[in-house]
Amino acid sequence: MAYKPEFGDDSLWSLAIQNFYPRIVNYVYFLTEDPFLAEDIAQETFARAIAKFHQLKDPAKFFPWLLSIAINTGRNQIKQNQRTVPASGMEFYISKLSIDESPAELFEKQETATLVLKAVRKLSPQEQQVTIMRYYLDMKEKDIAFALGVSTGTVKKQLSRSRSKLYSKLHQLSESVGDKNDR
Amino acid sequence: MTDDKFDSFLSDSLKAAEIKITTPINEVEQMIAEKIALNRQKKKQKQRRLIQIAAAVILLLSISAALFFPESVYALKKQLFQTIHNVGKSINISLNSDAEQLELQNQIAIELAAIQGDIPFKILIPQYIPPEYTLESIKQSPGDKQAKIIMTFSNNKSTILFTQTNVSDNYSVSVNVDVQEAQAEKIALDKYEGNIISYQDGSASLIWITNNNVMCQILGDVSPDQAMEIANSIQ
Repeated sequence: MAYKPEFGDDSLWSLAIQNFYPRIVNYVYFLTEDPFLAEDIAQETFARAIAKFHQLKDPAKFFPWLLSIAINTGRNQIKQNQRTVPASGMEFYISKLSIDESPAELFEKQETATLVLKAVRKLSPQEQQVTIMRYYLDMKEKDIAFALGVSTGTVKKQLSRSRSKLYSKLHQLSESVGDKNDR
Repeated sequence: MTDDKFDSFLSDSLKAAEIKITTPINEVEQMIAEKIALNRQKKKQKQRRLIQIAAAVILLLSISAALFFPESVYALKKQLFQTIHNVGKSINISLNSDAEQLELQNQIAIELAAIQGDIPFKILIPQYIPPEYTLESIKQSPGDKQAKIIMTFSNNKSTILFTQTNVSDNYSVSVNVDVQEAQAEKIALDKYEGNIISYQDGSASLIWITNNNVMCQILGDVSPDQAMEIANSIQ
């Protein structure tokens, strides 16, 4: 029988939602460019994860497992909706940039982030996924492989390919950012 | 720029691009709980739809089979209704004997399909054969001028023959019986009047003529009651 969650401050599912919900939302948002769809998919991911929790064999793999559900949910939902809304509706979301930076620094950082995200979105869907998992979610290669249901070798190849594509597009920008940080 | 620095640049930039979730966590939990309830409802509906589809497919198969193979499917129809009826009452049902009959009917239907085209009358099929008998053969009698079909059923020890012969309108048959070894009597079948001869060795022979001028005979190691039961089951 599926585990029936009792939400509340102390429940494990509440903790899991607090910790992982924003990361799942952002992961889906990076891929779909639709913040509303991202939230919807993240909620559906948790609903399915709660129903399927008994299927999780290794608790250490909880997050990659959750992500694999998000990937499947997203795939189905996008297929059903057939919609990819470009980054509209952003006014409802507040960028999570630090407020102790100057407006100029903030603007620059935001510009850089937008450019990097644009470059990532030009990669193939598989490359986008491994890149976001590796660089945004800080996941290890074996966990990425688990979430995507592929071998670690495949993940390594895709990461290397996407990294070199990103490098060719962004190295000048990254160097100028690096120079400013060094100063 | 070193590899590590470029990796950090990518990582920092992507983290800076993340959006902040403004929906309160308790609202998120509430929405997840609603989705769980909705998914359960959908799952139930899906299961119900699957059962309905399965029932529709079985019904469709029965109807189409009944249209294309009316005789042979009679037993199947009977079996289906029996099964459904019994399922309603109890799940502990044994269908072994019915299953044997059904298999036999299917076997007969397959054999008959090959020869029906050469026979001027509609070949009759018994829906009941005593337990443990299997169909050995269905043959056309080559020696007879009139079309004749001989079905042979056998088990390890005994044999039952069911013959069908095309006869003329005023055809009559007479059989001489040794009264010391056999006894003859007229009997009433469900639809026809027949003559049965019971032999002292336990075998019997039952003869009757149908309205379509087909003379039928059941003979072999079969009791008079069993012979009548076979005759009454014929479609």
